[in-house]
Amino acid sequence: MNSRPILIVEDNPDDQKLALRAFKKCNLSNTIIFANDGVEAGEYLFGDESNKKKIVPAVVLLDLNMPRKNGLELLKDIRENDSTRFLPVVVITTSKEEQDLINSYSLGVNSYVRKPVDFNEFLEAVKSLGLYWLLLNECPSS
Amino acid sequence: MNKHSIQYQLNSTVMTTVTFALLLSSLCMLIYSVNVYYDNKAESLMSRSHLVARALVPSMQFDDYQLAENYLATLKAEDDVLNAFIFDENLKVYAVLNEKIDTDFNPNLFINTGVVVDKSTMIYMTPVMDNGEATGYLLIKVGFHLTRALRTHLFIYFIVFITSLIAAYWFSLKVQKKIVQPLNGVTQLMRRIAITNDLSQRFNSEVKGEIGSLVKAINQLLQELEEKRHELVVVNKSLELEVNERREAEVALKASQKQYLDLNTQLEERVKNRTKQLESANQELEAFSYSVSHDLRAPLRAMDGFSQALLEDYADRLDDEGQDYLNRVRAAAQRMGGLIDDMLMLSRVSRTDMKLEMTNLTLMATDILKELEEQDHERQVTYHLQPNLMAYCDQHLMKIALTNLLSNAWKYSSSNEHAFIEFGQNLEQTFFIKDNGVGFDMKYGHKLFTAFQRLHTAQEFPGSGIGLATVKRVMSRHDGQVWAESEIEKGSIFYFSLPQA
Repeated sequence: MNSRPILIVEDNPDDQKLALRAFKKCNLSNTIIFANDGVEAGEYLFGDESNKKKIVPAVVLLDLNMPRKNGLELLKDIRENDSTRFLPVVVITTSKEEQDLINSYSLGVNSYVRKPVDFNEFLEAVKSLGLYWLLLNECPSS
Repeated sequence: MNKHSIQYQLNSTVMTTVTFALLLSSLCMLIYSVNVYYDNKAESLMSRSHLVARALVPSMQFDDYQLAENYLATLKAEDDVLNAFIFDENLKVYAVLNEKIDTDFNPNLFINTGVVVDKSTMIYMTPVMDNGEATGYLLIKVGFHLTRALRTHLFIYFIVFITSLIAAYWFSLKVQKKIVQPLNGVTQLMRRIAITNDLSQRFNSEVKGEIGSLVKAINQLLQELEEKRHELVVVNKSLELEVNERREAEVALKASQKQYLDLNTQLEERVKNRTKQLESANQELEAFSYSVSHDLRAPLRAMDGFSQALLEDYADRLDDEGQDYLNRVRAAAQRMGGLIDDMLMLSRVSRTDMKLEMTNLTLMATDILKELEEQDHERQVTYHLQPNLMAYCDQHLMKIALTNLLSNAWKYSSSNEHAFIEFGQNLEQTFFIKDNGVGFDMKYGHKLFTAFQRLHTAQEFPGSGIGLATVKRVMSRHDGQVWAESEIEKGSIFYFSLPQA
């Protein structure tokens, strides 16, 4: 059982709230950390000047379209940084664009999920994700 | 006058002929004259000799010297007698007319020789016969002057020769004139025509014979040449006119060609610009649609999600009415999600580039129906797909169209327990999808393919009203057609046709 936090990078507060509720419904005990955009997420992952403690989440749930630094740019940074190179990243986005899919996989995303409009479906998706990435998936220990 | 000219040849022929003829005849005459003279002379000599020899018989018989001399003397009267001898039977000189000459005369030379010509003398010795015996011989010597005798002949012949030559030459000249003059005239005429280029001239003389025919022929030829030349001039003029016309036409054509090319270049430029504009407009639209759909979906999720959250977490604090309201909110959010997807699809169908290829529609329909079965496995729907239905179309767009048509068939036959869907081809390029569902009122058939126009309520059958509009858009892009027939409660048949490859 992975007890590390889950980092959700999502700019929409409604979606944040819904995701939180979904995880609660799954009975997953992991801490959920929200970052509002790529820059904030970067600070969490890589640390900033004030040297806030770096977190190493169990999995990063990443939205693509965000202000300042968008999802793909953050993904690139994550993969380029040694400390986060193997960090599981799951893109969750409303985009149905093939190009986003291609770009994400090119940058080394672990999984790509489309955010369903229907909330029940969203719930199911989050449940599956949580169960899989936290309980089933394994990562290198570095 | 060169040796090829007719004049010369004529002249020389005539002169040569005349000369030859005259010479020949002169020669013949001369020979004949010589013979005549000789014969005359010989005959005269012989007859005189014989006469005198006969007369001398008695004188010889009686050895009458005086008589003999008298007879000899008669010969003297003849002025051509040069000398005369009488010999005795032993050929000794008995009497001689002229002693002074012929002193060494040998009579033996002349026995039985007949008439002998020696230099310019003719000598004849004849025996004096007395009873068959020669009692003596008589020899007469006369002068034989051939040349002198013939001199006159020769003179006459010469005069004749000269006169004939002159006459021949004159006649020849006359004939030449007759022949050569017209020829020269024709030659001069030809030269004149060549210089002046005037084909209207003719040779005027009234010549007869071969030259006449030649002249006539030449005149005819000139006539024809004149006429032909006239024709040629006329034709030439008209050709010139035509050439000028053609040239002008060519210039005009070139000008219009240039215009056309310029116009073409302009048009191409315009087309290029328009295409660029369209492409950029398309791209903008694409980006716009994407962000629109993206941004529209986010609030939908919130509406749907929080309504659900309310329903779940605050169920105990909500009465039925409250729950109903929230359910409606959820339903509306979902419908809106569907609409956004459909509209995005419709706009993409209009914009994407088409890649046409031969597609197996049967396989495509099979996949779609299998998916429909999976999503709705509670229903029992039988279907029949005609095998190997091929069409020349864009695969992606056709999949969208078929999905819409088949989902419609699936959806609208849900009222029928034994739903049956058929997909086939009834004409060269016409396909049909038949269902035995609820059908629609043909009265409103014209609204069928309009966006957002529905012929049933959302309660009866869910739907956005864009599906068929999308199908129509797909068929239009293929330059094809789509239409439908239906009977209420009996079912519907949707036809679509595609142009050939």
